[in-house]
Amino acid sequence: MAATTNSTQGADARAVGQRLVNQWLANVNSAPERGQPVAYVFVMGNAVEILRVFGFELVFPEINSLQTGVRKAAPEYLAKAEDYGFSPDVCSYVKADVGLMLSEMAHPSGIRIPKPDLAIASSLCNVYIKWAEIWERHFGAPAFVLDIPGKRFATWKPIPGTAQYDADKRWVEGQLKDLIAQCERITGKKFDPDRLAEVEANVNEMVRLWVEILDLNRQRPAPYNSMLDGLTYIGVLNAWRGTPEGVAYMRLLRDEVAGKVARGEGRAANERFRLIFSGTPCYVNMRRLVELFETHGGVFAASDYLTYAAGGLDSSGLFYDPSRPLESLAEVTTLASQLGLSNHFFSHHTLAQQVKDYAADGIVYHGIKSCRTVATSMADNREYFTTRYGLHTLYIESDLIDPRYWSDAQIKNRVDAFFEVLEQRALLKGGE
Amino acid sequence: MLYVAGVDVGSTQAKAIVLDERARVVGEAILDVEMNMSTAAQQVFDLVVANANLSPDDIAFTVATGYGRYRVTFGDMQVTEISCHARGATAEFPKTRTVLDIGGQDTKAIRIGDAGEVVDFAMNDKC
Repeated sequence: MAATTNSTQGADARAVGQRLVNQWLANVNSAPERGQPVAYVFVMGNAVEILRVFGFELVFPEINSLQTGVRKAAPEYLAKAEDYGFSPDVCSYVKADVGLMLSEMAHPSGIRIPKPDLAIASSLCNVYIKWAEIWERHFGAPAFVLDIPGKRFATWKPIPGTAQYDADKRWVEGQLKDLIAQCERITGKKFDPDRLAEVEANVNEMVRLWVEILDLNRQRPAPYNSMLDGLTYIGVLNAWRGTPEGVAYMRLLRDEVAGKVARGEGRAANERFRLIFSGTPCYVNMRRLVELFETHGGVFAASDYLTYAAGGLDSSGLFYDPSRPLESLAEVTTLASQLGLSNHFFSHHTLAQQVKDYAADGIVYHGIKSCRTVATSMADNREYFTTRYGLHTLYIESDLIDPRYWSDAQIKNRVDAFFEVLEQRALLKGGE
Repeated sequence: MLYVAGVDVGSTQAKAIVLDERARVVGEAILDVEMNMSTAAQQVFDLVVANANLSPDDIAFTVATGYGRYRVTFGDMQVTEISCHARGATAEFPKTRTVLDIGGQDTKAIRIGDAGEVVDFAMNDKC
């Protein structure tokens, strides 16, 4: 049985979060010697709830890769993958993971990542399936692919009770049953629907608290920066999804953020402009990127990343019904996928709502060289907000973890110009 | 008479002008940037002041722009070339609505509004 953490009594959320992350890494490292099966999962579309029922230790290769960036160790892993034959154009997350495989799974966090007994991929990222095929070849581990139907067109809405909705849900439920059968074969355990209900109840509470935390940032000044503080929050949210420890952490975090709001404490000493961040982070230089904005009093009050990367996809406001655990899992998985995918391809609807909810002065789009899918529609999106809403927007480009794509002077130039325009607009409006 | 200076330290060239209080150009200079941007900034400033038959003490205010703007240690303010181009272009040609700055490192496209304000801009990364 994996070790769990102590109570959160008297601790602050940052310390508890760090402890949870360290504990999770230690659990991952010791899983093989404890005889615990290991599952590789992605952040989007992963059926973690089922895996918890069967006692899998969860490994998130995306988190492994982003950590190589955060710890400034990515170049070594990327070089190994490129020397092996992977193109520079390939997603840097994948290459860092391949570099990890070529390094006998020695991770810069100090642990050795165990090989998977099962890998879960989904159709929610066009790279996931190819990535899972790499694991199949390298580790000989079975890869299970969840095919989750997306939105059919921009204005399409999934409506419970309609034929299309029911068909999508049945399609996903059937696959979840196949996954259960595979888990039973791998672990030798029988599926326990009551345990699934218990896990789902924990997830519901975590999601409820997460929605509260996201909403608290509507206050002025924003108590946290969604693209710095928020990234550490979702790390814990993903790794401890569906656990009592995860619930305790989220409760502590919510109380802490609410306390800041009550005291009028903001993330930035002088919040001048509230911004939305669209796209994935630049993990290798996120602190520097945020600093470039905060120097001008700009705070990222919200981001679309905190919706679709916060475990279980865009699950904000979607809850399980533990009285029908498997059917409900299929329902939420399908709905969350369709909402989450819309963040990529029809993101102007979600962003427009966020601009309103968070009283945003501008949107910053971060396209990444690793992934043109994520950057898809950013140019059109920008044009939409500039012409339709008269909102000021900025487009910057770097990468998830590859430092070769970070150009400090050019990004700073864009950021400085962005704020010059915001200040000018404030002046023309009669502001300070 | 009040004099002000503008110093643009770009990736390949450093440019400078001096304006009098009626916004007339009384001195201009341009130099290639070699290894050291700070040196280039100082040299082009010294040159433009000399070309204007002035001394550095005559310059009341200096605005620095370009990628090397933070290397202009004697500057009073740093403003990106985006804002500078918009202001300069509309000062000379009030109906300007688009500026294309084809620089040594990158190209910038700037959309300008009716009040001469920057509405939007886009840049590439390298030539």
